Amino acid sequence: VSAVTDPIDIVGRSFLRTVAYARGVDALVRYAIWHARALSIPPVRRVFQKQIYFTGIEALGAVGVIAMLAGIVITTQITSLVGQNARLMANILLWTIVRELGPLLTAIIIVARSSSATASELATMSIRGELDSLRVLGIEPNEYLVVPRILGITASVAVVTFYFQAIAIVVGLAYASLVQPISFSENLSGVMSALTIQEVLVSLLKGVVFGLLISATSCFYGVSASGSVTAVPRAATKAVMRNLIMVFVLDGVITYAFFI
Amino acid sequence: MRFSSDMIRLEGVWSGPLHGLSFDVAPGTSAKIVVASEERHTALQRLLFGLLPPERGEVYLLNEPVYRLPAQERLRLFRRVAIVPEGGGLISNLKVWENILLPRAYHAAFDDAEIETRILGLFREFGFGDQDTARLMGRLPDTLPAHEKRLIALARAMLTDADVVIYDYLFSGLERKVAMDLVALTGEFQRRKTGRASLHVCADDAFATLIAVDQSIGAG
Repeated sequence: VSAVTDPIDIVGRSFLRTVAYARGVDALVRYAIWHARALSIPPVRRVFQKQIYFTGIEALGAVGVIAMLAGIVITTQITSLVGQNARLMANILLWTIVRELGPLLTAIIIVARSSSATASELATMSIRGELDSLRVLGIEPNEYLVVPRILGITASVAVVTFYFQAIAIVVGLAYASLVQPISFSENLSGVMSALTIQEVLVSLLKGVVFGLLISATSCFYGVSASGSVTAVPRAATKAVMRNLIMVFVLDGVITYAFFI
Repeated sequence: MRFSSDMIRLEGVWSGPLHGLSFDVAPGTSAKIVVASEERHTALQRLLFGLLPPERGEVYLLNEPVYRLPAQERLRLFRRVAIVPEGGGLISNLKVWENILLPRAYHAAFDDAEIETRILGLFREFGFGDQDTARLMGRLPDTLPAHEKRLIALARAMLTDADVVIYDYLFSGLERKVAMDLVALTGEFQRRKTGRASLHVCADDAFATLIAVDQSIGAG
């Protein structure tokens, strides 16, 4: 009991777990990048395609709805703040959606949809000994299970982030043109003139970094699950919580590095 | 270490309840090893599948010391070994046909039509009609009984060009006639490739005596 309630012990264990997590995620990301050529193996490519379908294509509906609502809500707030200033509205819309909310909300949606699913699927396979079954077939489990998931989720997050931003901006501007005497094309040209290549690239960088983080974290907790079936929900919960925290941390780091 | 061309060789292996187990299976021959308890079976299974190094002694497959090989080399070795585990060793999120094709598709290119014909032929020999086979192919392993999982693993093994085949409790729980048909089928598969070696891991029951092989081994 004393070991559990000792604050130094709790902090120490938490620190060690975080170090193990960071090292594990780093190793998986490196492995996935280094073994990306495994996508040329038909079964690996099939897992990659399935991952793109589940994480990217199946998420488009939910992401689209949330993007539309986000665009309307943000535009409403901006309009109430700056009135009929199209240029300022365009700038604020870009700052909020392209720089921050687009990558962040997309990442949160993907965490909610795919992180727990990936972690629990891999955890189930792990506790049932299916990773050993793959080895017996001469198949490296990380190559077959982890590489296509990391690359598939990362590609999906990057693309879905742009999709979110495009829908949020277009719907936001369309809404603004309804409630204000400024035309949609005037608003759109304001946004296009304010948009810089740096903003697009940083947004892409966030998408890629969040994708790598979400996928590697989910795979890490999935493949390291062991013991009984209770390890499955534990792996899913850990993956989701760790991803949520780390997405905000990395978002802050990237924003600080490029915009402050 | 003595020089040998044995396909499967255990040299003075100690692992849990197995004490000093030694045997070898030469190229082109078949053997059965009868294990008296589930504990011994599990230990032998893990040793042969490359999953648990022995406390003492050495396990060789295709003349390679399994547990002294680096991980990548061991994986490469197991591409030449087909294993039919008692539980099937199927991947739960793959449908039956994906499970059957997995090692073949992973390690070599293949002709779709030829493979389909071979799968249908194999399942006919297992006693399935073509429609039953087609229905089975679309199912996930968790919905199948244990013996069907094992038959799927057997089909998966028979689609490979393995040099060593290990059958783990292949016949347990099967009807006598189906089991005898499988004995004939595995014998035929063994003869299909020159030098191929087969090892049946069997429970110590009446059926084990009916499996005709070149060599019988006792594992206590």
